[in-house]
Amino acid sequence: MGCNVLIRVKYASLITLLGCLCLICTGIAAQPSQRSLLLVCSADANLESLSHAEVRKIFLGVPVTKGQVRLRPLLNSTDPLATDVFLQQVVFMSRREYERQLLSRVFRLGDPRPPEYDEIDSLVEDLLDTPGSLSFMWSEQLESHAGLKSLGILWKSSNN
Amino acid sequence: MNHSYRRGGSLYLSMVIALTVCALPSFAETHSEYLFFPHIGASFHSGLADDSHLDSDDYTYGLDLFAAVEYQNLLFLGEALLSKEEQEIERFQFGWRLGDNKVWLGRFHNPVGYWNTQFHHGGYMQTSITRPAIVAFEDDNGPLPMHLTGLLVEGTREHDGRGLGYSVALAIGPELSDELEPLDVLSPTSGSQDRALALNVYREPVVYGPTRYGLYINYTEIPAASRGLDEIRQVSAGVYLNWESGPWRLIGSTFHVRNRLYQSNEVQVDDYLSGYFQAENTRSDRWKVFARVEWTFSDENDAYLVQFPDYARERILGGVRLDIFDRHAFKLEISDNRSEQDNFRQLMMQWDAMF
Repeated sequence: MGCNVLIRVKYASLITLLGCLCLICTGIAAQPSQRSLLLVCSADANLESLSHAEVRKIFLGVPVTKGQVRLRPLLNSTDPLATDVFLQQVVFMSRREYERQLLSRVFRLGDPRPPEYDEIDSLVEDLLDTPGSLSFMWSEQLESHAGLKSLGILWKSSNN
Repeated sequence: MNHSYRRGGSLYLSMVIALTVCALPSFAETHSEYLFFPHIGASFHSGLADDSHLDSDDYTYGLDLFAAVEYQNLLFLGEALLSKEEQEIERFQFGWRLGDNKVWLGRFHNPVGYWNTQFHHGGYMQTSITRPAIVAFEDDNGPLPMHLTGLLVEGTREHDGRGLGYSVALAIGPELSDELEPLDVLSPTSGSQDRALALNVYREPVVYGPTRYGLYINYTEIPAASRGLDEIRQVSAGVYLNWESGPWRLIGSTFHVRNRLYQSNEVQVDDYLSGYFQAENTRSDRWKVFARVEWTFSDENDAYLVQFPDYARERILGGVRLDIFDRHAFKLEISDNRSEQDNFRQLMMQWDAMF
């Protein structure tokens, strides 16, 4: 009798534990994954971190030189969400305003606009091949492309 | 001046520039931008005086060509306008980048106020069809020098997230013949232009952002032998603003212009005050509405303005802009205008694009 009670208690504990594990796993799966938008460049580049103000300046087409290398912004348009987040959180402009500002700068001062990339492979290829080139991408995109490094987090989604 | 030569020469030079800048990108580290601004427009006038210089209707078309080439710290910037009325090299500048500053040599737009150095000849870039009359181009009855040739230094300094910008020009201005004639880069010795100086200082509340306010001063010596004058010494100064927030954009500028007209041993001094204020509202991704008021005070019997009978001394206008497809815009503008000669209403329609 006492043995049966003990077995029942053990089974109950095991079921409770499994239940808790299931709930935790379900909770983790249901929770939106945290995403980070990173500033990236070639792993071979002799660059460390850049401030948001410097990144904004570079992507607005203003010439910036670090260690005698002119930094070249490459606009990542492979993911519209990443582009919008970058423009809103770093450049502080809507897409339309940003395009107008770039055009205005070209027309006034002759500063070239950042080239725009719709395909991630072309973007990565140019990041690896062009000295001083910079772009932004999600952390999971960086993980799937060798030869690139992060120069810092530009934006992180909140878990709330 | 041999205009047929100028026009043929301008076309020839445009081709030379196009070929040159197209060849340059073959060098590594060369970055280039080419922009094309075509336009087709129609305008209709009512209330014109019998002896008016204006036609009751007018049609226009043209193409503005722009090229910018950068090789390391060397820069080239060129703009040519090929239109029904004229074919001319508008900007032709070679530059050097020195940190956050640029030093240019060549023909450039006079850094007076805001409009002249923002929109240049690219109609697509400005919301309205017309420019304010006080900053109209020289060949469109403009009373102020809009093009200078010489040295231009400009730059922006960043401090605490704000910007402080400047432009300084030491150059040659226009002469006054049939109209103000800037130096012709194809035939630089053909005119009798004299010196010009300009300074523009501005503040950006957010550096490199669109909102900007500033002040400028410009001094130009304008030979005017064909008008029976030895010379006109002109000083203009004013303040300006471009403010943008959400769907709103406000652009305004004032111009205090003092002219000293020299004739033999006599000097006549006249002043006038002019300005414009334009409000724009973006109604949606495609629609914009705008309105502008322009004014000129103390212009009665002004000895300088009388040289520009078609200059619109007062104007009230309203219009809409519809952006369709990618970088195409249809604009409609209605205005009431007062010049020395006419008091007329104008309806304009224009298609502008950028490629």
